[in-house]
Amino acid sequence: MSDISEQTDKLRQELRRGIVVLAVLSQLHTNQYGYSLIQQLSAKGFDIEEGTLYPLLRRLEEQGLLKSEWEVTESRPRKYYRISENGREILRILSAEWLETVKIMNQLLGGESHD
Amino acid sequence: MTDLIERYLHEVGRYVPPKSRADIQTELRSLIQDQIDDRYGGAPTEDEITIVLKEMGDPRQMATLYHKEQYLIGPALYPWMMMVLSYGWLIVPAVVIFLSIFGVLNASQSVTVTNLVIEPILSALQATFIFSSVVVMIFAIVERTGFEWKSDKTAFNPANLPKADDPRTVDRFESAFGFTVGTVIVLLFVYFLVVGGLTLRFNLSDPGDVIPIPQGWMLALIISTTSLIITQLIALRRGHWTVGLWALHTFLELFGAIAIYFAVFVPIFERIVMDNSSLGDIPIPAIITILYVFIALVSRGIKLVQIRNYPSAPSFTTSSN
Repeated sequence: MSDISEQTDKLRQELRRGIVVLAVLSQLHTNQYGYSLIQQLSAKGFDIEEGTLYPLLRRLEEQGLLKSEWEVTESRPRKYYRISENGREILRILSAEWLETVKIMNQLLGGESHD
Repeated sequence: MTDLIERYLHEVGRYVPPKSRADIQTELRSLIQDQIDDRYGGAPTEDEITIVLKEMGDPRQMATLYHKEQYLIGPALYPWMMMVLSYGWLIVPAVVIFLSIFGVLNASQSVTVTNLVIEPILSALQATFIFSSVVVMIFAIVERTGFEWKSDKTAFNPANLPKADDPRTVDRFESAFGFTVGTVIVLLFVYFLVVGGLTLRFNLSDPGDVIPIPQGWMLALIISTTSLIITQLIALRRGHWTVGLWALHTFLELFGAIAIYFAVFVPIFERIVMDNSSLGDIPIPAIITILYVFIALVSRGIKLVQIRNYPSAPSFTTSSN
């Protein structure tokens, strides 16, 4: 892999690292288990690796942003996640922050393309 | 078919915290089976399971992602650890080499290049390694106890930052360190003066065999070292060095180097030559002292000129428009 594409990959990962949390929180207003969440995000164009999502769900739960419960009545036990009150509040703040950032970034990137 | 999955889960389980191991494994098992069912239906082949597990990634890496961000020494403690280490890396080898040479001279064995040079160097390396390990271990324990430098966050005031490149600045930690080490050294010299020579047995009533020293030079060494500590403390109290204070400090340091030559180096070297006359051809103590005096003279001289030329008034003004 060339230096440029290696660098791009690393920077892309850094860029996505912050917004993954926002994407996940935004989809958990209803109960979801890991795989269903991956599918839902993927269907909306946001691909996320299993190895990234599963530990992330657990961390967000430890931080109190998600609640979880085991569902054992189905064919196999599944852990369902749902956004908590705290998580909802944080999602609201982060969403506003994100929209503002997008607006600024559009201006910055737009300005650059006109130079 | 589940054998591969179970082996994968077992491997992940080895590297996640025991408290949450069962929970993580159960959840991962369910997630893996969901994926397999979704892609391949009820009867996947071993190759298909392999594909899914490969996509999940190396089990050790997967387990690592379940840990919180981890480091042995965090960013809050790291600068402090490096400060302790950097001082230790200077002092520990010096002390160990000094003690090793002393030990050889006081022992009944004959003095050779091996036990006078090679063994002290190896001991110094060993002691430095042990010192570094112990320091890192202590800081790692402090890190694990959740210790935080909360006071630092509230105490920080940009107005208290030292001026950039101000040669008059007194480093608080350097001063504290110099004070501590200097005090120990003065006590050591006083002990040598009282027992009449150099020894490693610290017992006033029975100091053992001592290497005789010129008492006058030892007294001069004690006075110069004590005065050095005092000038350092005066500078610390004032918050900066002045030309006069730095000149006095430099003079005392140079005088101390000459005093240590006569009071410590020469007696030790004479004892070495007494045991092994072949080592007496090169005046090692004189070379070390001259080299040190030369380096000190140049570096302290440069700083003296910098202090003298440093503008006392601020180099810029702020407007209040």
